[in-house]
Amino acid sequence: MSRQFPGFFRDFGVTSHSQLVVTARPRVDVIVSFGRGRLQLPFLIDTGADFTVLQPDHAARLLRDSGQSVPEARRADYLTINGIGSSSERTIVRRVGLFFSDEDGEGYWFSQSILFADAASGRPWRVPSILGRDVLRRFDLNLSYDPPSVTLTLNK
Amino acid sequence: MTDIVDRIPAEIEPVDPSDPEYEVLKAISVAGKRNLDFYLEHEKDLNEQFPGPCTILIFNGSEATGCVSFDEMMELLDTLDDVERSAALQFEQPETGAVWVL
Repeated sequence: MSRQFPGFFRDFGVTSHSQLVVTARPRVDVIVSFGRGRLQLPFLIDTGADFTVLQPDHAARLLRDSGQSVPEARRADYLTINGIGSSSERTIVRRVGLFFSDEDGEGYWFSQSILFADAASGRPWRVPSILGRDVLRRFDLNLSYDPPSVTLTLNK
Repeated sequence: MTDIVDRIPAEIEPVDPSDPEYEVLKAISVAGKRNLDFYLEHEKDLNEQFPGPCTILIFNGSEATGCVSFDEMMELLDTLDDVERSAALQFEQPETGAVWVL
């Protein structure tokens, strides 16, 4: 028996360079719960990311609703993540609930530790939160651009 | 060959669907689906209406606005009830021409 969790593509509609091909970004909606906070997020599916990361605004929203804040974390909790080039950001690890809705509207819910990017680390990120391989490994990921289709399948 | 070891504990613990929280999350999911359907139906217009850098916020099933700052967004979110607040969708609009390599 398998359950399918549909995702979607988000077009970003801006041509960065006349010789570059603009390709839609694969997303999936997931509800993240942490303490009293609950937040539905259109995660970017990123098979190149080791871990799932809440970008700073999303982390700050969830922490505020849960009654916590990043600066209250001990410095020893910080984990540095590295991106392209020399970019690196500070994160903390927190255990959250992740709720996926299948095509019939029923949920699949489990808890897992993910990374919260530090909202106090500088300029805003204009990027989505990222669903990394630590979560994707639970699913059979199907990604097609022709025809367009994004599906996470849970095989049980 | 070296074994691959997770650096962060990532054990999966399925949660009991009879938990009252499950119904709350389902309600948020339904409201969030309405917001997503609205966004996808009007994606092109919304992207043009709210150029980056900003955050496009979709809420109450058919409302959208562009927020430049986090405080501005939270001020709006604080006016919504709990379910709609949790279900409000944020889409980040980078500055025009920005390229992502995540």
